[in-house]
Amino acid sequence: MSGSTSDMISNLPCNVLEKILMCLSLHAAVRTSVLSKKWRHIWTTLPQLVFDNTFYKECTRATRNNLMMTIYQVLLQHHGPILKFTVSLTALESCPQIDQLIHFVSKNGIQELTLHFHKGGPYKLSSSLCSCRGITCLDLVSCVFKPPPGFKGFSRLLCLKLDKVVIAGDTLSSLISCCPLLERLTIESGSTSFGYLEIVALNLRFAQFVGLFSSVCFKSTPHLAKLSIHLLSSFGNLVSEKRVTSKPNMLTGTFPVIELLELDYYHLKAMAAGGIPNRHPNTLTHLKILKLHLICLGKVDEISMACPGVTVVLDPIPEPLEVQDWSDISLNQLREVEIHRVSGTRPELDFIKVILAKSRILERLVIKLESKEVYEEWRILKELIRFKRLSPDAEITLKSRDEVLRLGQSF
Amino acid sequence: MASSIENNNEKLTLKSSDGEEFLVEKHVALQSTLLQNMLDSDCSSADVIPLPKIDARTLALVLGYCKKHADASSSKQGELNSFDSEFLKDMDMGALFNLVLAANFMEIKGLLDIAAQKIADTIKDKPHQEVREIFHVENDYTPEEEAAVREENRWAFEGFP
Repeated sequence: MSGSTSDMISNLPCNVLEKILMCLSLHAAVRTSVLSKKWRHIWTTLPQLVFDNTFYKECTRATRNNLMMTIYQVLLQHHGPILKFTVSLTALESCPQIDQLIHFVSKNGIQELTLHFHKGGPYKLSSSLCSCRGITCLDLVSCVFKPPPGFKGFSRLLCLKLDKVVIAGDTLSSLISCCPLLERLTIESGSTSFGYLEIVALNLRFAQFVGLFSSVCFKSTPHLAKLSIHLLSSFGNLVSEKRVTSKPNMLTGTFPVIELLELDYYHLKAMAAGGIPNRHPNTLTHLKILKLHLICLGKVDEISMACPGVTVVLDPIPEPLEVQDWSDISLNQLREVEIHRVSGTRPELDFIKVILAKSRILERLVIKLESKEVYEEWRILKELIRFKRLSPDAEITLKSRDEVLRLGQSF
Repeated sequence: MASSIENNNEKLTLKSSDGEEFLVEKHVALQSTLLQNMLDSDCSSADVIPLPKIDARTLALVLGYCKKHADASSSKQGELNSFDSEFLKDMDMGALFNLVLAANFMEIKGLLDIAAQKIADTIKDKPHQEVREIFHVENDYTPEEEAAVREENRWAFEGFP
């Protein structure tokens, strides 16, 4: 190979040069055009273009005032496939001109499309998105999705993330069922509420729902291994209680291979009222981790205290759980349980009693207490000691309330 | 499972461009997609596989990387990451380019990724004049042409001399 004084970098194979340039920011990649004539157009064939806040940080004020023009300039010079395209600029207002960007990338083999908007209201997605047949990852924030009639779904989609996306419940249900390869699904409802959602996704492995969903039915998800449902927004505030109470939140379906289940208070209530375990007593046999957030059963006041500024309207204390009601349940694979914000009410303790009595190989039960009172800890501890444990290895850890509740940490 | 243990112990010989031979365990060689494909298509691993584009010094480095990654279990990702960052530290540009070419030729994705990242880290945030000097890139633009190229994408050059 040549010595160290010759120009080795310019003579690297095209794919290696491309790899190096893709490790650079777009600014730095474009700047390589000035190195020599050979370098002039290398950046213009890069298969990924990312306009995000890192890009924004490198822009001067003049460019910041003219973000769309800069994006146009880049696209005009680009040739060849664009497999990955991201527009996620906090400062950019959504505008109809975005249509042209989507149209452009839809004709250039787009596979991973990310569009996040934070200003100017939800962006009404261009219909050319629906012609992106090869799309594998779609990540949208604050968009309006209304596919044209006859839309046949994305046959190669693996990952779908929707946050604050305006879409009708039945459109969303049919979109999901029209994506046969879909493996990962994340939906945050934002301020709008979804009515009935029906999930038919034969290849789905992971699903996360955050926000308002009146009713979610997992009609056919034979491979779903991780499911996380939160009625909390990512900021820890309850989204809107009125609508929660007007329709009880229901989660139904079969989960033959579920390994991780993450729920919050409302869904636990639904479970107790005849949701998952009672209807499908044998479907939790693969469960390895059960995470429960905000189980303040009957402790409405404490939810309001935890989320200031929110008026909580809930049904009165739910029916207490009895171990015998759970007699047809087996939790044979359950190894770890974490329960947050336990204040030691009867239903909570009964629930813990069930977990301990029914989990054959339980190793860890972590209980995070709501109260800081030593006396309360003492009282709960006294109760816990008396519970029968089916698993001889079960270790119970009582934790005081010192950690911030973080959602979706296990993913 | 006796046969699979036997397979694991199977070795093959690689020959560098300068004639040095390296005896490599098969599971280490499988880190390279090129070698994997060769072994899949032709089972006579008794033969010496010549690698005419890779010198002995580079091949030794490449095989060191492959051995570490083949032997580590997937649970030791943290350990592998620190090995990777140590691996390229203080390497001179000539050696780094030989390594990136070898990784590309032998199709060792992980090594190609970290070597490309290392080269990119050298380029980023530097004025183009400095980049030219580091990599011995000859500027064949006239001053007018160079100014025109900068003007085409002025937004990317703002703040750079």
